[in-house]
Amino acid sequence: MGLTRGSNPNRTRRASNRFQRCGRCGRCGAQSSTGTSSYWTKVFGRCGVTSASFLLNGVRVELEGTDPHVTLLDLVRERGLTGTKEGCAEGDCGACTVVVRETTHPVQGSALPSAYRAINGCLALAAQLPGAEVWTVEGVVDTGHGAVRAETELHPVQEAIASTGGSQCGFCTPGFVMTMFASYYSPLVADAQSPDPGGEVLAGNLCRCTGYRALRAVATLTSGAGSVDRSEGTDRFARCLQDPVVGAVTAGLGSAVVAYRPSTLAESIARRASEPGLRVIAGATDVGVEITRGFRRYQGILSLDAIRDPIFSNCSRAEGSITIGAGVTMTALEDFLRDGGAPLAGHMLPWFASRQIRNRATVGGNLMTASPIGDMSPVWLAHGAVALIGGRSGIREVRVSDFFTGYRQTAVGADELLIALRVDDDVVPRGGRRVAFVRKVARRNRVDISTVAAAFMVVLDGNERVVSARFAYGGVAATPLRAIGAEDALIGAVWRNGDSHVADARARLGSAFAPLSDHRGSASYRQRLITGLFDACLAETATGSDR
Amino acid sequence: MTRVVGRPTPHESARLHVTGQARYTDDLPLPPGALHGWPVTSPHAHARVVAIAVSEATTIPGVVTILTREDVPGENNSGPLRHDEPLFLGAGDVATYHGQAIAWVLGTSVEAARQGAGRVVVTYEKLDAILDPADAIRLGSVHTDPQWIRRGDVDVELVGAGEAGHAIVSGEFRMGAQDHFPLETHVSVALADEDGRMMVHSSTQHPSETQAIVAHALGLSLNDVVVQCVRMGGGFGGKETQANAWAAVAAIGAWKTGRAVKVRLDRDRHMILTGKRHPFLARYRVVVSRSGDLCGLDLELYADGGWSLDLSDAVLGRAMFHADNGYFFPVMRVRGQVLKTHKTSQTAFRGFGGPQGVAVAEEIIDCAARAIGMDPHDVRTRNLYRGSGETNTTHYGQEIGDNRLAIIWEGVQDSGEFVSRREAIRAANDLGGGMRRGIAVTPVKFGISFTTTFLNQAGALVLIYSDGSVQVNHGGTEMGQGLQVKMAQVAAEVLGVPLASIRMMPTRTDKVPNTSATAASSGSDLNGGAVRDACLTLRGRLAPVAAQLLTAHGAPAVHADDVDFGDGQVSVRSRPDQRVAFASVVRAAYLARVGLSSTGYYRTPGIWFDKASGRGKPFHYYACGAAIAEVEVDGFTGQMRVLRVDILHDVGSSLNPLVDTGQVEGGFIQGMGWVTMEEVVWGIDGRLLTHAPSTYKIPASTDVPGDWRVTLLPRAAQPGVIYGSKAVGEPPLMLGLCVREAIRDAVASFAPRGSHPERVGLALPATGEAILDAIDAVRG
Repeated sequence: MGLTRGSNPNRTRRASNRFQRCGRCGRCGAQSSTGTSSYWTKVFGRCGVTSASFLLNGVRVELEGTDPHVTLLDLVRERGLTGTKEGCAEGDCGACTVVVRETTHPVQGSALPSAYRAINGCLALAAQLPGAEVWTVEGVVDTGHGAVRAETELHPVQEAIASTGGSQCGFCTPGFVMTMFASYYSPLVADAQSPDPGGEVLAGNLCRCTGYRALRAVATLTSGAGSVDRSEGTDRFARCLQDPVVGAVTAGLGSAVVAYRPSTLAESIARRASEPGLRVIAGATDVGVEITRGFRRYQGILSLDAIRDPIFSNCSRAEGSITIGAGVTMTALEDFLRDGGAPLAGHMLPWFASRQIRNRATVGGNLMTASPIGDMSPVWLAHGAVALIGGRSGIREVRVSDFFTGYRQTAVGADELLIALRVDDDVVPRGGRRVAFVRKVARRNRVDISTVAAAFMVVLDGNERVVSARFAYGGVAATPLRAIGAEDALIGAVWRNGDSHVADARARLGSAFAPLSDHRGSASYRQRLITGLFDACLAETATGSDR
Repeated sequence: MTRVVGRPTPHESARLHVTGQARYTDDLPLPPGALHGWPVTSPHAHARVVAIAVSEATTIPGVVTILTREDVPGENNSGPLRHDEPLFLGAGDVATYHGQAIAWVLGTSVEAARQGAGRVVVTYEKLDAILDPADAIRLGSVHTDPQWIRRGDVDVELVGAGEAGHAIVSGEFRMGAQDHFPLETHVSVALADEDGRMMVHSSTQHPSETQAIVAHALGLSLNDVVVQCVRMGGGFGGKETQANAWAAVAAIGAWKTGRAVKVRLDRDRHMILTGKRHPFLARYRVVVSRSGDLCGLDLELYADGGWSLDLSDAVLGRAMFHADNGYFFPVMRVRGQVLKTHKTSQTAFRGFGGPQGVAVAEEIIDCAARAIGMDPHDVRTRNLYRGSGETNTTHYGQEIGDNRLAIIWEGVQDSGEFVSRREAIRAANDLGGGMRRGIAVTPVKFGISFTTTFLNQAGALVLIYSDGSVQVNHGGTEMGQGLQVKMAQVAAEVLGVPLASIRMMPTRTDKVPNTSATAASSGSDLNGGAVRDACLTLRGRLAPVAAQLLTAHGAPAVHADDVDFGDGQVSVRSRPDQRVAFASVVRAAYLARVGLSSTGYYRTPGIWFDKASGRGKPFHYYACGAAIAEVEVDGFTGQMRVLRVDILHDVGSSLNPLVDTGQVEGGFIQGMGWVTMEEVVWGIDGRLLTHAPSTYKIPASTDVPGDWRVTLLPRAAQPGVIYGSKAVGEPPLMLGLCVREAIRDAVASFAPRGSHPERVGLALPATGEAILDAIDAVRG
């Protein structure tokens, strides 16, 4: 049952000396380095070759000539690493979960330069692989030979799952192992501080057999919640976290289908303008599904994931506002917002897809899909956020309320890119307060598409009178929308049940939208949710209300 | 001696699972030149095929051939009982569900085959489709004649109800379908053997039937076809019959091309093409006394079978057997019928009709109780089967015998602090507000055995090698339920060797013939009996050899009956320190020309059922349990959270408490999924709208109760079953029904203060929308 010897990743050199030799010629050698893409060039550069390749369980894999549409899942399975499974090929089940070691995002404030992150192998495209360091389940145990034998010592995560009944049919298990592997070495504060750390860590992995009890127990240990003994934290994977990561390499794949991966915004905008047929991707968690489930093939791909311009790839905080780069992942945003700003976003993020998706999906990519629901779109609408759109002539600002111009259409022109979002704090009068309410109603509490998503931001003065209000919904129209009429009716109202303005606003909400019926819910249900969420908000936030 | 059975032993493949080395059918290396299949599917739920044009598909690079009806060398059918499932449709044939395969394109890659399938042009003449079960009843669209089970005369009871002062409560109740959603989708790989024979690797729960379907499709004898299943990535009944068609298509492809052919359904094809748990429609009239005694029940059960019969008749039968759940109905009439609709062919799914029967019973109890102003919990308690004789006998005449319902019912309520929690919840709900809690306890009594009596048999083949190592073969398949580790435990126990000496072999039809499906929770009972039988035979042969070895020089001869096998040794019973290694005994036996392999066989004793009269003893025994759920319901949105669950379940004297606890937990969550979030939706054109995890939601890690207490009933050995154990696969699924009843309890609290709703209608599944509908209805 073991892997064939030739394909066994554990037969290769240990992780600690992986970078000692050039992967291309095997001789010219490399020095330890702190660079990112330049480092890669150094490693594979002395012999004069830049390389479209990535590290798979410590072994260099050449991508030259690979179609950029090919998924990481298919790449590893074709190499005989069949531990990684296809359960759905749309990022919903997690059976394909693999781990990437990547540079710690600046906003995450980690002492370590790199972190392990779980991602969906089924949605990671070859276009974005050059320079990546990928670990699959086969790389977790260093057997030194082909098979995992009875005496082979398992990784602590594997041992815990195996010995406590965490696997039944075993098909989803490698994905669970990799999710917990990432969490074991690079736990996320958002998970650790949640009321259900084990559940949150695993929300992106489906298991149909076990009912999750044993798995949740292991994940609670890896989540970083409580005081967990991390004496295992000095193993080869932990040591690796001290090393910088090569990072995205801009080398093309040399395939018939072009894949561009510029390192600057200017180059990206120029490329978009000169080749308008390119499909733009950032985290590719949505486009990936178009490829794997919709069987779409593009004439070329423009990937934005290597852009290093801070305005695009970072977040910043100024007096009274924050700016969030369009290229920032949802996971990085979660970390950034723990220090304040955009409270609605912070509340919505745990409900946004799964950890695997949040590790890849970007703030900008999510907005650019212009989904009628979008989860985060109502949040930005309720925050009154401003989109910064870059073109060849500079940056222009568009309010998010003007951003969605139609079903799956945005104000971003064919030769422009969404660069960042700015969220200005709402000014609260002295003695007043801010009501921030977010709720996603879906069939399932995690990893589901909303039936209706709502985000409300209401500013009250010291007398509980409404100074300003923004009520935004997803799932009620062709685009995420604000209920302007209801907002207007609320101005001056006393924020409590029974106030006539509040009643008027509620009535207006009831007729503000004409939602559709689909398999997620009937129009009638959506209609009732529109007002029901208003009622819930009022019950939760008005003083003197009982829930 | 150390016992091997009864110990919490990890899954036999656990280390392979966590290291990714466990191989599934999709992971098998393919020989050079292997082809991949992709189906051409019907875009209509009901349509006559007018013509098929394949020429354009052959222009796609990589497309090798297109399999059509004309390529079938044998019978163009995969129907397991009734031959009503054509594998391919040709001109003049009728497509009977949306997504039905018409033809299959074989290509050198999945991508090539898929593109080729998109170029096969099929013209149709569209026909009217029947999708709703009520329409099927009205139009007489059925697969079967009605089945009946009768106890007493319910008409007399109904007529006399008024005079007796009883209430008659009637209603109609629908239950939704459920997709199995095994993480591994259907896969088959067919390899043409020499001589035109066929080797098929299939992710199947029923290798013998897969073998038969493949053989018939190729026009071969059964001995020409070998089917192997190493393991499945989940089955849940979905691979009992529904793996057969894909194996047959792969085999026909291999037959035609001489190349290996793999047919793997991707997730969407898997969900669109294959059957699900049967949606049911029930109509009932129940007679209940004013004090809450159930007096009579008149019940009609309609199973929505979909386009073909499949196993629907037996599924319906089990629903009828379980429409009492754990309750004594002194008078009862159940009429059941399988409806024919233009949807996927609904099939076995963990519980096999049992969940629908049990759900109907709980629905009826709730509606009857509320109609007479009683707490449904009190009506449940007072109507449980009890005592002996009539009150402990089911509507089909089987005496329950050792009835453990009462101790389980009381036990779970004691340990689960049901009464005090219920009071606290009532008090909290009385304060009003948008968030309400609910609590409920429901029992399950599940009959163990295939209700088709002849299926209750199993075979095994055990091989001992000359170094003392052992291979065990049996007819059961491993789908995650832990059958292999249990069988290894049984073999190790009988032979007295450590678990590490036993190797469990992949299930193959050339090792054990004519096997039954691994289904009906019976895997351990049946195959365990067969493995034990084979091991006893071998032990019987080894004992005299051991006795001879243990006879000390000049001492009186040790008799073969006086040796014990244990811990890898054979010892003299009266002098345990006088022992010899098992491997030495085996070596000596080999040299003495003693046969070291044996088959084993088991059949369940004492069961029978007469379908015509609706009477008999279809079950070897019953597996029982009970569960309490506490939930919180959001009156603004209908959203729901499960806060706490307590389970007490009877697995007899567990062969493996780690595995059995996992079965209870996994079954519970799957049942909870069926009654809450899992909604299969067909569009008005018969298209399946929920065909991937993005649209069909099974429970995730965050849906599990935060406080979850699972206990196996102690001191519960079951006589006449392998080592006193009990079947565990299906029964716990029905424990999940308590979640729906707890939701109903919470919903009822939204009724105007001081009033009790006479009915709390709640759809199954109780989605957020259904819950909000129910709340709005009781709010008035």
